[in-house]
Amino acid sequence: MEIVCSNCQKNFNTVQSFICPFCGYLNALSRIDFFSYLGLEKNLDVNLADLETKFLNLMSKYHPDNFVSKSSQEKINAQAHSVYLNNAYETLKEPTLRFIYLYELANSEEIVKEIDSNNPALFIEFLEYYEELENIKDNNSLKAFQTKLQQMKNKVLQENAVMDFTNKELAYNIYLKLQYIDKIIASAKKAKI
Amino acid sequence: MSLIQINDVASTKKQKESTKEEEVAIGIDLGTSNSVISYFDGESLQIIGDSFGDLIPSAVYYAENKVLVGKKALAEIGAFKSIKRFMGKSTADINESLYDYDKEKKTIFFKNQQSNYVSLEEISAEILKYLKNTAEEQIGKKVSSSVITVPAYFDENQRIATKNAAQLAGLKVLRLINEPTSAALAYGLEDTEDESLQGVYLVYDLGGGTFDISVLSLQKGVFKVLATLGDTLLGGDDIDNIIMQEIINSLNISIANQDKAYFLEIAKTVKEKLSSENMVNQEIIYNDKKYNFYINRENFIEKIKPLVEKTLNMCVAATEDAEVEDIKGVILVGGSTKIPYIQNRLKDLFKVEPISSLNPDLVVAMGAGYKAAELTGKTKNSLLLDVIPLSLGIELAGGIVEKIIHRNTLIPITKKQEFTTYKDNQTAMSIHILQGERELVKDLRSLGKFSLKGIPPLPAGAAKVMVSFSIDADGLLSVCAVEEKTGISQSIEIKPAWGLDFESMLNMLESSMENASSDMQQRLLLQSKTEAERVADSLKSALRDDGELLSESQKQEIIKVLEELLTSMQGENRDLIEENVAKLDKATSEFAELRMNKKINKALAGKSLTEVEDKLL
Repeated sequence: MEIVCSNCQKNFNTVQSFICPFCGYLNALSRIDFFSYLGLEKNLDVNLADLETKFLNLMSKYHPDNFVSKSSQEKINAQAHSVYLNNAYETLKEPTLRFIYLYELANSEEIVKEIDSNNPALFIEFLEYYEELENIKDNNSLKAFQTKLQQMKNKVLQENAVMDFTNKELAYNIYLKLQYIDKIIASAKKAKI
Repeated sequence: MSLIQINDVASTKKQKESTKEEEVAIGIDLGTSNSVISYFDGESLQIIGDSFGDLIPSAVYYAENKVLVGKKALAEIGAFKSIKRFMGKSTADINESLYDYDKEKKTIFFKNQQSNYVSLEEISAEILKYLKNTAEEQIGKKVSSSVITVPAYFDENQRIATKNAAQLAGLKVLRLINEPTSAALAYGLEDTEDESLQGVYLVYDLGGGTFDISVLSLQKGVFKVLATLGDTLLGGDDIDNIIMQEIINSLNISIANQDKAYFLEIAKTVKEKLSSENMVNQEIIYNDKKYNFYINRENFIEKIKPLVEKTLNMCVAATEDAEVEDIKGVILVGGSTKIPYIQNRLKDLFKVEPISSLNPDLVVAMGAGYKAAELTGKTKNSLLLDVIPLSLGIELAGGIVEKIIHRNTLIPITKKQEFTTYKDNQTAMSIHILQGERELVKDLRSLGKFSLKGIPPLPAGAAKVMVSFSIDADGLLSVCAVEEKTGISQSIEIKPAWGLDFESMLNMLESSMENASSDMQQRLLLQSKTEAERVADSLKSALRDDGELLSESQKQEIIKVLEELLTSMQGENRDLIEENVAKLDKATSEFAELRMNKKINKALAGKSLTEVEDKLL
C-alpha cells in the first residue's frame, strides 16, 4: 500500500517493507491483512517454503535487535512489526488457522468454532478413520496412515485453494473436514505402538 | 506535528553518536559456578579474565569492610556459591540451603558473613560489579552495557531477577539471550557459506546448576530456535553431590553440615580426574584422619547413569517438540560435557560427532560478546529468532489455567483472549498470571496478580474483558486487561510475585534495615488481607450459588472457619490470617470438588460425542 513516511514525508509503497526507501525510517504498522503484509496471494494453499523465505526476509528488517540504538518511537514500531509478523507467520503456516483467517477476512465475523454433528456423513467417516487408527499395530502402518491423512489434508487445501468464503455453508463444511483431519492427525501422533 | 518529529530525529542522532563514542558493551555468562566475560575489540573476540584466570568463580564473600568476589571469595570459608540456583525463587521453594535465610520473608534474604541479610539480587549484583570493573581495567574504557546470558529454561521471575541485579550493578542490559543460543552464535555456523553445514542443531548445555536444550535451525544469517527444554535444578553440581555421597558412604563417615563444601571440592576434583583417567585414588584428610577413596570409571558411570539418561530423554522430547528427525550436529556446552560418557551417549543417540572445538566453559560468553558487538553496531547483525520456554496463561474459576501463549512460540509476540464475568453484576475481575506446562494452578509458577475494577454491572457473561499478553525480545512479559464497553484498563509488567517491585527494592536498600522491614511487613499484611478478602468473597458467593450441594453440617463447618477468618482480618496478625486462609482452603476442598463436578456435568450435558471426545483427548 502507498503510505507517507512519517519521518521524511515522502510517498512510498510498502510492497518491499515499511522501511522508507528514502530515509530508512521504519514506519508504524498500519491496517493490512496478513497475506498482503507478507506479499502472498490470498489463497488457501500456501507454499510453505515461500512463506518461510518471505517471513525471514521481513523479520531480518524488523527485528528489535536492529533498533537498539534508535529512537523510542522506532523501537515501538519495530516491536509492533515483529509481533505482527510472528502472528502472521504462525497463522498462515497452519492450514486450519489460515482457513479461519480467510473466512474471517471475507465475512468480517468469527467462524463458529464448535463442531456439531449436523453433517452425519462426515461424522461417520471420521469414526471409521478412528477405528482404523485403533487397529494399527506397527510403526510402518502408522507412518503410512499419517502420510495418508496429510495427503488428504493437502488435497482439501488444493481443491479449495481459491474458494468463495462468503458461501458460509460450503466454507463451514470444509472447515469441519479440516478439523476432523486435524483431530485424527493429533490422535495418531499420540498413538503408542 | 513536524516540530515534534524534528526533535525526535535530533535526539535519535545524538543517541546514536553517543552510542558510537562511549558505549563499550561486553558479553557476560553469569554462570552458576563460574562467570565469564567476553569483549569484541573490533577485530577479534577476547575473553577477559581476572588475575586468576578466565573462569571467575561466581562466589561472593562479605568481609568486614569490603566484598570479595571470585577466587578470593572462594578462599574464604562460608562464601556464597551457586546462588544462581535460587534466582527468582521464594523462600517457599527452598528445600535445603547451605546458608541461613530470613524465614519470616517470602523473598529470599541470605544472612551474609557479617550477619546482615542480603537479597539474592544484591549478591548477584556484586558479581556483576566485579565483572564490570575487571572488564574496565582490562579494556581501559568505561563499560556501560552488556548482553547477559540466562538459561533458556529460566522463567519470567528468574529473568527479571537477573535484569534487576544488572541494574543494581550499574550495567545496562542490551539483551538477555539464552545460553544455548549464545553458544550456537559463538560457533558462527549461521554465517557460513558452506551449505552442507546448514541445518538443525541441538545444543546440549549441562552447566553447574542448570540443564538446557535448544533445537535450532541454522540457515544463512538466520538462527531460528525451534524448541527448548530444560531443568533449572539439574546440573554438574548434582554429579558432585553424587560423588560426595559415594565418598561418605564408602569411607563410612558422617560429616558436619559446614564441612560439606570441603567434600564437594574433593568430589569435583575426582570428577574432573575421571574425565581423563580410568581410576582415581583420592587421599582425603578429615578430622586429622587420613582416608583413601577409590573409584573407577565404571563405578562412576553407574552412579551418574540415571542423571545422564534423564537428560537424553529430554533431548529426544525436544526434537519431537521441534518436529525434526535429522540432527546435523550436537553442540556441547558447560564443563560437565567434558565427561566422556556423556559425549559417547550423545554420539550413540544422534549418530553424529559432538561439536566441542570451542572451550565448553567459555563458549556461552563468546556468543554474548558477539551479540553485544552486533547490538552496538560493531559487526553486522545476524538474525536471532527465539521462543518462550514455558507457556503463559491466566487462572480460571476452579483452579485451572487457560494458556494464552504456548511454549515454543516465536518472540516478540502479543496474544489476546476475551474473558467474561461469571456472576451477575460482577464489577471486578482478578487476573492471576501463571507460567508452566501443568494444568492446575497449584502446580504452576505464579507471576503476578492484579484486579480489573469498575466493570459495569451486567448479567453474567455480558461484560467482555480482553486480556493481552506481550512478550518483548528479551522474553519479558507485560499483561494488560481492558473492559471493552467502558475501556477501563489495567496493566502490569511482571515482577516477582511475592512482594516488592524494583523501585521499592531500591528504596528499601537505601533506608535502614529496620524501617524497611516494617514497611515490608505492612505491605505483606496488606497483601494477605486482600487475598483473604478475595477468598472470603468468592466463598460467600459459592455458598450462595451452590450451597445446596452441601449437607447442613458441612455448611456450618465451613461457615465457622469463614467467620474465624473474617475476625482475624480485622486484626494485624498476618500469620493468623494466612493460617486461617489455609484452614478455609482445607475445609472447602470437598466443596470445590463438588462444584467442579457440577460444572463438568453441566458442560457435558446434551453435547455430542465428538465434543466430549474433544474435551477428553
